[in-house]
Parts: sequence; structure tokens; C-alpha cells
Amino acid sequence: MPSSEQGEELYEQHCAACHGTYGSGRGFAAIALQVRPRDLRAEPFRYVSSLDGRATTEDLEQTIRRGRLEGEMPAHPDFTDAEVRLLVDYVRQLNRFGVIGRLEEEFSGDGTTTRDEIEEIADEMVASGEAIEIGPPPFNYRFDPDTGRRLYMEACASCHGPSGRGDGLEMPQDASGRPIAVRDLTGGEFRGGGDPVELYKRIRCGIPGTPMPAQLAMSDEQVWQLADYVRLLANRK
Amino acid sequence: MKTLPSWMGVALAAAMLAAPGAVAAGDETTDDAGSISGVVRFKGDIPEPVPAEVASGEDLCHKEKIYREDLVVSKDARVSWAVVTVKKAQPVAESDPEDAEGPVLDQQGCRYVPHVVVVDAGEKLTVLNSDGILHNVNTKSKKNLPKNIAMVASLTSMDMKFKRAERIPVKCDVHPWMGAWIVVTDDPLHAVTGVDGTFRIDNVPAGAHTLELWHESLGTVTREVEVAKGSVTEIEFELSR
Repeated sequence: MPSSEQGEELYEQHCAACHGTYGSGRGFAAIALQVRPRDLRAEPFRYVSSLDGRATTEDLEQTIRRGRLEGEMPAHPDFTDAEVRLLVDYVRQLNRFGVIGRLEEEFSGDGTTTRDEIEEIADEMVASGEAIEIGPPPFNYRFDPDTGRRLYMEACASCHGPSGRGDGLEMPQDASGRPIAVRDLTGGEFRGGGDPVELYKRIRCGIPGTPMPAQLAMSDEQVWQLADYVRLLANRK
Repeated sequence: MKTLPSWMGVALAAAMLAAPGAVAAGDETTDDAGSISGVVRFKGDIPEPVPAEVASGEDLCHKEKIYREDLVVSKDARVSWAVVTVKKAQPVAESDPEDAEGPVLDQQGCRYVPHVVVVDAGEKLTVLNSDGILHNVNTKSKKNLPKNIAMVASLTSMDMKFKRAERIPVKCDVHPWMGAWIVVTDDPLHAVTGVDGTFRIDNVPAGAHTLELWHESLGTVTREVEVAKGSVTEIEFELSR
């Protein structure tokens, strides 16, 4: 019978070294990493496939099972489905604690928000987002570099720079107020994954907790053109 | 408290309409309802306008000088962007949905216009991008799910809805000096002061009410008021830092 105690045990064994015992992202092994582990209490999950800024259950399962290798999060192909589920639930609990803490700090003093309401909001924030449909590109789709470039200049260049070097903005900040680098797309490093489907998700859904916004109005074809253009910038096949 | 004849009330409303969507339901006071009208003043040395740090190569952002709007006080001490709300009261007359233009937040010349927009919980907020350049609308909400949506040049209009009452700061990451407030409220009787520091709220049920004033830099003040049928209750607020 799944329990959060089992989830906690698995977490301590497999995750706490980097993510920290309470999910702070400052486990003892984190110092060896180039990429800072996610603070599971204070930050939203970044690699999402929904339009409302929340990770879906599949997103979290994927992260745990397949890892985010370019983000230095290892894969765990040996986990059973049940273990993955336990960890997803546990990680959501950590996130929920963080949300409750922040809401209490901000709102419980002024008498406008009850504890019940705070818990309701926290439940909503950590619930699964609704996954978007990512079909294959339309059957007659062909990457057109000119279209890709035009879309890129309109939607991306202001932050990622005209050549994709991440030099468009001066001092961007993530949602926690920390300095964050605009990704240098020419470096070919995509922390959520650089395959076309992952790029599609990043472009369409944005990266919650960072300045990278969601593109709600673009057509499917336009998002695929952009994804391919980004791969071109990164010199990927 | 002065009372004004109804026709003057209408003229006053027309002359003093502070901001789009500022006045609740209708311009005329009906017999069952009264109005609250007033001005928000600043006490102390009038702060000078502070230029915003506009770091951008975009020509559009340099067409007009951009100033910070977190404390806008006119030369005669009138305070802009104060939100006045009648707590826990419902308007007497139903507003005509055909007439009423919902709240709008626009992006013009690399500024949010207006700087403060009030929307009821569950009501549609129309977000426009009149600039034709990339802006992202990043809502730093805590009770509502945060949103961060790109408005490329071709996306000139977008709708947003917020479930819970909350004062939400909005920013653009592409143009980080841009900032606005979306005040989501459960209280449908509200107004926002404009450059002349005045506000007017109609269709207030007669009786005793709590008025709440909020300004992002000057804080929150509450006042008990009495509203009489068919007349306008005048209020003055004086705030200091």
C-alpha cells in the first residue's frame, strides 16, 4: 500500500543527496554539480507540458524515470512504476509544504485568508496540469529556415539575442528573484532535453519559474518551425 | 457631508470619471442607492517623478520619457492609482452587460496602461498589446496560478481570468521597468484614482459601509462611511509615506 513514508524513504535514498533532506536543493552532493538542483519547496517545476504552469504527473514521472540529463538529473530506469509514483507524490508534498509556508507568511496575518483556503490553494498549485496534445508535425510539414528565423526574431530574439547567444537581456531574474542566464541556444545545452518534442514543450508551455513565457497563440506548425530553428542554432541534426 | 441634487451628481460623474472601468454600474444615482465621491491627497513634500530605468534598444521604448508609477503625486498633491473599495457590498442596480466595457490592461510605448486595473474575481480581463513588439505578461500571483504568456506582435489581444481576490503585480521580463497591478477583488463596488486623485462609486446601497483605500506605496486605510439614498457622500483621504 503506497504511503508517504515509503516515498520519503525512497527520496532519502535516491534524491536527498542533491535535492537535500527537505527539498531545498542544497544536498551535500549538489556542490559537485554545474546545474543547481531544484529547490522542491520554493520553486515551481520547470519542465512542464501544460498551459497553466503546472507540471503534469507524466512530466514528473518522466523527470524521475528518464532524468533530465542535460540538467544533470540522472535517470532511474530501475525504478518500478509504483516507486516512481511514490516519489512523484512525495515531491509534490514537498512543493505543497513550500506553498503553504509562503501563503501563511504572506496572508495569514491580515485575517483575509483562512487556513482552509490556504490548503485549498496549495492543493490546486501542486495538482497535475492538463497535458497538451503534442502530435507529430502535420504530414506536409517541412522545416523552412526563413520561416523559422522570422518567427524567432519576432518571438525570441528580444531575450535570446539575434544570434541566439542569450545576449538579449541585461539582468533577468527567475521567479525567486535570483539572477538567471538567458539560455545560449548556440551552446546546444537544453536542460529540459534537446529533442524536438521537448523543445516543442518549452516553446509552447514556457518554463514556469523563469522569464520564459508560454506561446498560446502560435499554431502547431509555427511551434515546430521554431523548434527546428532552435536545433539549427544548436547545430543539431 | 454634502449632498448634491441628482443632476449635479451626473455632471460630476461625467467630469470626474477617473479611469476606464473605474465607476461601478451606471452613472446616475437611483432612489435606493447613493454614491461615494472623493479625492486622495498626499501629505508632505510632493515627491518628484522618478525616471524609470529604460534599458532597451527598442525605439518604441524611447519615444516618450517613462517614469516610475509606484508613487504618482500631482503638483497639487493629488494621488494617482489609489484603489477605493466598498467592502462587502453589492451594487443596487444591475449593470447592463451590453454597456459595460470590461477591464482592460494595455501595453503602450513599453508601459502598462493603466498602471492599476481592478477586476472582479472570475471576471474577464482583456490584455492588449498595442505596441506590436514582443512583451510577456508575467503575473506574480500567489493565490492564483501564476501566468507568464508571450504576446508577440501578432497577438494583440488576450483574455485572462483570476479565481481569487488578490493584488497581483505584473511585469514584463523583456522590458523589466514595466510594472502594473491587477487587483482582483470580491467587492464589485470600486474605483481607481487618476491623475486628479478623484474617485466616484455609484449604486452604493444606502447605509453604513466600510471603505478601504489601498495604494502600493502608501498602504491601506479604512474609513467608515454613511451613504444616504439619492445623494453623494464626499470623502477625503490624506496619505503620507
